[in-house]
Amino acid sequence: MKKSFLGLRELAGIFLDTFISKNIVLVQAIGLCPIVAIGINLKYGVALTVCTAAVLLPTSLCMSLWGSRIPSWLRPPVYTVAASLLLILAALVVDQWVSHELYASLYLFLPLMAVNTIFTYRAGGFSVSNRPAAALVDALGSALGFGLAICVVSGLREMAAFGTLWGKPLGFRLLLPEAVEPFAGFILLGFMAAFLKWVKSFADRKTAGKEDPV
Amino acid sequence: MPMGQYSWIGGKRMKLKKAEAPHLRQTERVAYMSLDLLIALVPLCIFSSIYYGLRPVLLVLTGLVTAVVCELLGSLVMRRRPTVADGNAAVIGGLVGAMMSPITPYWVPAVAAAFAILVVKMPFGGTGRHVFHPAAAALALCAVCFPTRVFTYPDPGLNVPIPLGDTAGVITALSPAEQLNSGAQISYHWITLLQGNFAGPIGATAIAVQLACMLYLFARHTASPLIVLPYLLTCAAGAALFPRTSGGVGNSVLMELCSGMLLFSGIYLLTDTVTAPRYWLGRVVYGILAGVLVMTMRHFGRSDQFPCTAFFAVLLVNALAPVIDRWCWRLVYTLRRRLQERMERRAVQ
Repeated sequence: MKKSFLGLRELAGIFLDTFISKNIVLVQAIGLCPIVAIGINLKYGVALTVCTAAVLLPTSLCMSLWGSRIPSWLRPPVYTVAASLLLILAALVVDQWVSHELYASLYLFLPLMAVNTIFTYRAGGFSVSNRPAAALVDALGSALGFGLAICVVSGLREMAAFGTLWGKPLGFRLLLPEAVEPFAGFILLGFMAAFLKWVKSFADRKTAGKEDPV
Repeated sequence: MPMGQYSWIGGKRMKLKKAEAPHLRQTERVAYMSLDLLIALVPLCIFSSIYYGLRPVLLVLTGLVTAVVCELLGSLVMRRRPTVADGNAAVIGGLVGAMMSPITPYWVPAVAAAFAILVVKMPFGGTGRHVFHPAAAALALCAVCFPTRVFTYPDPGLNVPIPLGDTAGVITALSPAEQLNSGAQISYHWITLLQGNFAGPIGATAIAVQLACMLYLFARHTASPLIVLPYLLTCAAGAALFPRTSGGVGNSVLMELCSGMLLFSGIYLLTDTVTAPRYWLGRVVYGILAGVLVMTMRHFGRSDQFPCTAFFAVLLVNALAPVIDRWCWRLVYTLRRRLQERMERRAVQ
């Protein structure tokens, strides 16, 4: 059921939920493929974040506005097609105005992004049953949460494998060329998920201690 | 029944022994199992040092010490009581060292053992909780990251000990696994194979010693024959049905079973009680599946890059172990219940 009114506090809660506390990648394990496969330098990471946001925000908004009128069996094809169209647009923008090189390295993975589980879960699940404002905030949180994970992973992998960050040399050479391999991405994601869990349990303990001091 | 100290069994007043929840027959079972595995590693090191001098022993010790140190570090970071005393870390380090080539630089087993403990074992909760066998995962890391350092083996027929330091000038030889992969027609005399007088990893050559260790581990209930025997039989069947070398079925089976880390993985990695299924049928299926995977990888895998693939197979079946266990248990349970129902129905009629 759609809630009639959403305060700023609720919206912030929705945002923080998908951004940090139920991070779309680290807790819900959605959208791992692009991170593991091409999250190997920060530029790709940021580009993919922007692409995700550019596709997820409009899709979520549309699904929230008109999603409930589409029968549920027809929804997956509808938003997959919508996401693909938007991604083609995004690819055109990247190719024409940003950098052809970036497009050349990403083009293989943009179609994969279109059938990414992020869209299935957020656009197809959350947005349909929520108000447009909530859906937009949720989409933003999801995109930024995905961005957080992919940027950290890709930055660390770029530093480890090439000794650079955003293409600039950092002055040291770790030179672990294996960091580019998918398994390194999985291991990094695993450790980040564990770290997030640790932080959350730490925070939980603090709040629990405040509520009833023993 | 009240929580009393006595009960009446068969008209006699018997004293009840109260035992706390984990009903183990042996105290400190983990430590005993680790000790068994370490004992079973010693003869392999001795045999290897006969061919290559002291270097293999030092490599195994490097892995072992690194693993123990990393376990201590991990316990410190996780603020737990150190679990080094159960010996699991030492076994993992020793196994990692035993799978190296005798001319591997010392930092490779150190890195691999550190990876095994700090990435594969401790984050999952330490001893008894890891999903994948840490030693197998460490070897997989080595295979992906520095294959030439791990899979280049010295010639054992030189009768000169390998220098402890730089090994640049040591004459290398192709291991049987690589020869099989390249499609060469090979046949070793079975005595050569039993003696381990062929190029290969530190612990995975002396076949006779490995078989003896296997029997020792069976006798001590540390390794389960229900895993190892189906695994070996499946591999043998695969080798007999799809031979890669000439010389008849016997030669093919002998060469496939003795090359690479097939036997070693079966005895030491596959039987790890933490990662293997617990149920008897689960264990049999697990062994068969591992055998099928090993032989499939040998036939269709990227054998030019990875001459040894047994540890990849171990990792894959590790992931499936809980599912296999559950399904097998359910299957047997359902069958048994149906049988019982049928018997009851007959008794009523």
